[in-house]
Amino acid sequence: MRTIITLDKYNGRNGKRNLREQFYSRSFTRGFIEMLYVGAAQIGSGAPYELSKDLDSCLQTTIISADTSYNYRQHQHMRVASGGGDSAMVVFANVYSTAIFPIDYHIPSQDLGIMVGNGSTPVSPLDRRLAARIGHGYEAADISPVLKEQYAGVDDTDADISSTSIRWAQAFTPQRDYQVTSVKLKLWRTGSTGTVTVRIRGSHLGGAQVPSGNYADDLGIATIDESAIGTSSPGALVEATFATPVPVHAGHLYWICVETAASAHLFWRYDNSNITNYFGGLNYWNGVTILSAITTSYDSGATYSLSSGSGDNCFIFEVYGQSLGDFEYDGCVLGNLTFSDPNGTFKIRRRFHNLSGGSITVNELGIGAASGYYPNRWNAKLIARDVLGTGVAVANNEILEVTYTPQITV
Amino acid sequence: MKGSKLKPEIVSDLSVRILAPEKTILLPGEVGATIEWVVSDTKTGQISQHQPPKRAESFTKAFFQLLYMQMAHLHVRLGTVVRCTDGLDYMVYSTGDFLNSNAALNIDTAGVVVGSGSTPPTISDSALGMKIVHGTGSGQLQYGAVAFGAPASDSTTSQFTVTRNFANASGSSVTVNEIGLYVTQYSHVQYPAHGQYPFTVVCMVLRDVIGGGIAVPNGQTLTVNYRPQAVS
Repeated sequence: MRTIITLDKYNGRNGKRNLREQFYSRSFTRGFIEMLYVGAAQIGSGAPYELSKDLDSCLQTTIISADTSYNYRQHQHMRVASGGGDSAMVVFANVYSTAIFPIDYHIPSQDLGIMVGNGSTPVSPLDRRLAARIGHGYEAADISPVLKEQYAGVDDTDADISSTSIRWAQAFTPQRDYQVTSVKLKLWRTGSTGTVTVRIRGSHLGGAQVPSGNYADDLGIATIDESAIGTSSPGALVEATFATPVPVHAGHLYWICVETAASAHLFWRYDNSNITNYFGGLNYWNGVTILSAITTSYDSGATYSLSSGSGDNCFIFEVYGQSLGDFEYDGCVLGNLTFSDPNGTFKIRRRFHNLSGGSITVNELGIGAASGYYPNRWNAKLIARDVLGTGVAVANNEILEVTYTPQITV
Repeated sequence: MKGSKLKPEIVSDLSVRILAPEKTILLPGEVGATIEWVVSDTKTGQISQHQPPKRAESFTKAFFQLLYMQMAHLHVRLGTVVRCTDGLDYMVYSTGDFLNSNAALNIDTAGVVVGSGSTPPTISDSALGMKIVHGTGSGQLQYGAVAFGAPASDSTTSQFTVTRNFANASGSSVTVNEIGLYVTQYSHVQYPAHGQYPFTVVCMVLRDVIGGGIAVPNGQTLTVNYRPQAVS
């Protein structure tokens, strides 16, 4: 099977096409083969298969079927078809259970189907995400880093990182795709903490989402010299800058994980007053949906657990980032399945409308597909990624139409 | 099954040989499969024939229909009508089965299957030309269980392996002219007739005709490795 990629660019006002390029796709990834394998081997819950990481470099355990009951018959394994915009795609339906929360099985539309990006790193079978995805939206690229997320509520409590084995982490959920350039954390210390390390990790999209090291890779690492941290309470915002910006995806939950190099007392200020006005940590704990945005590890980040039960809490923090600009994502449509001996083809198509007000250059293409594990570990998996030899500049109000045409010939 | 009641003189070695691929066969950007086979002494394992991995030539219409159906996640009322190995048409849809290639010992209705037909493949083939059934009778082979090698990748190629042994205890040589992959799917209805309950149907997604055939002498075992691959 070879796949032709067709790029058509249209003027959004008069519909006139002003570009057509066609070339063979070079790179269906290991993720594609893994999804075929899970189906062919009929992987079940007794021995689920661990996919080689999802869009956020998190371990993605998956099955296709567990038993003969209908409970497991609604897995949308390898689904590529998708709605547009920020619509939630339901990728699992359990017709009998009422104990499943929407957070468990929804995937943002732009994670499924064709996606585009600005990155140009060479393709690899192990690619897990586009190097720099251009997400859904209507805003122009940021010229410089801007404040993207923050919690600046009541500052009433110290979290004490008193050992090198302790980690505290703060959740945030981007509303658009962008690249994290730095974070600011309200810190103070007693004693020598050594260099403070700040990691960004992702999580799967369902269930209790925590950044445990056994499945969440570091997406980026930054450090803070202890000399930058004051020694009197309540401290101040201290910045940790990422040498390489960290791409984050809209609707995904990410964690800012903090650790010290020496066992002293690093205090991170937080709000312990049952927050109600911060939704970036929307999570699922012990059968209920909660707002707690804090998680803790006492084993050097190997396992984290949500800090809930005593109220919904939140650290004092800020996230700075830079957007590459947005495209309006149409639905990703599959169709035109045709056969004419000895050939067969079908099409996968999506349109990207630039309404951002500025020009956006596309350097890479990919396809996301659904995968997961009953009941609550659903995420998208990259199954193809191609880097363009020459980027395609999409001006404001132009539409880029991307079509994959897989074809077989006997 | 009739074959399972027989007491064969020679039993297939169930420690399936999953051989390492020797090189990348497919083109950059291509998704396909390679096929490799070995004929060896059932008792000693001594190899008498080895076909190194080569391109599997013929994914069928059913493969493409099933791939499309799964990626599109077709509605149950808008499924794809697929001609199955029994020659009938069924409407299949996205469920917990997708390209299910599993098959147990002695089962010749699913997984890797072999046949004696030599009709050139076409995209519309829905079954082997003449399947060699499981057993120890004349012209029969004993089907081992299908085994899988987990996905692996290097700098350019990702693949997994589907393997099956076919032991000849028939008393005379059996020639294999075609190899196929049968997979199970779910259907609600037989088209255009109607049904009332989901049931399993079997579709052929790959068929390779072997020029000159593979002679499997009595007392020898044929091992077939299919390796679906993606190459970048």
